[in-house]
Amino acid sequence: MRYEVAAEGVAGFDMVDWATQLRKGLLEMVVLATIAREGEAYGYRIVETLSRLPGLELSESTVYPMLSRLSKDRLLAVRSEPSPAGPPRRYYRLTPLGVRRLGEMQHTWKLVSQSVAAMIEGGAS
Amino acid sequence: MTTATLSPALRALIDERLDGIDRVLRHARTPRPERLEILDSVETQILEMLAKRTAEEPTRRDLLAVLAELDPPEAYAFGEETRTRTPDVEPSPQPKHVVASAPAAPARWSTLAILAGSGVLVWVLGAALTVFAAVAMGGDAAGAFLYIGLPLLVLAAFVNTGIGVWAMVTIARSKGALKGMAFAAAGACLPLLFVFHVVALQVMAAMVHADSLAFFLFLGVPYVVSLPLPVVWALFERFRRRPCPGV
Repeated sequence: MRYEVAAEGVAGFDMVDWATQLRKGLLEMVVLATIAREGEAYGYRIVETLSRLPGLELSESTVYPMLSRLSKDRLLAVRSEPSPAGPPRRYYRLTPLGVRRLGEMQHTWKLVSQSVAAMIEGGAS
Repeated sequence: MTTATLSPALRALIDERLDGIDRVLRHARTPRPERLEILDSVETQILEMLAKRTAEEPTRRDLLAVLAELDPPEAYAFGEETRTRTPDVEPSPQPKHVVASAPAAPARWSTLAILAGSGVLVWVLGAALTVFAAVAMGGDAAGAFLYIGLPLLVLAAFVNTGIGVWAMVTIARSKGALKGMAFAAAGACLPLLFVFHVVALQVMAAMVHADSLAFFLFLGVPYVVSLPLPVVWALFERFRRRPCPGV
């Protein structure tokens, strides 16, 4: 059996990989922000919201492990409530620590995004 | 809709998906509480998507459509690496022969397959001892001994075949989580093959009055040829699974 491996160009650049890395950095903030905006949300609802956001379109295999990790880190509080459609829904809300973390992230994000936007717009002229 | 309203067949399909995710999460060493939390969330999502899709009792087609919309179990191997449903950027052309996939969980040996494979050796040993003991006894004692020993061997062959078939089905259903198909197949086929071989030769011997030495020599050939087969097959499986260096 013979395998062929495509030769990678010297200036090889994977746009998908770059976008993935960018989203990865933002994931925690957007999950926290989604829950903060709704006050309280359950897993599937969060997935639905994030899967519809252009440029993010995050799916459940990303969101559920993230929710689990944020709960473990005490950024989210969880409560269960019976669901008409199967197992109990897990509702998530931000803890005070989560609110503080989200605030810091949003502050940094605004600074970075404004600077990048100014750089891109200025670079064009 | 609740899990109680689902038919057992649909419930089995959901469980199969959840088991797949659980295997991947285990391989990624995700702690048990987190695994359970993720699996609960996925199950809730499946049932809610089904409820949205149809107000009536869902069919198999409904469930398969819902499952097709979800990420495959392998996607959970990436942990919090972001997975997107549809990429928003034009993907770069991927090399055709390089598949970037999640690391597959290493397959573990099926206990049933090992049992079936070992059963072949035990069975062959038992058969050989029975025949040699009978030859050593000679006379009426040998006849009586074979009268008990041979039916037991035939029964053991059927039992071993049953275990082998059971192992093959289990391995096939595990979708790569279990290995040992070679031993399972050997356990399923060989003892029964030997039994049929013995019966066929008995008939032939009775028909042509072949002498007993030629009979046993002829009988020994398939044993000698067949015994290394599971080992060869196992080696083949091992090398087939080994990834190509640099890929």
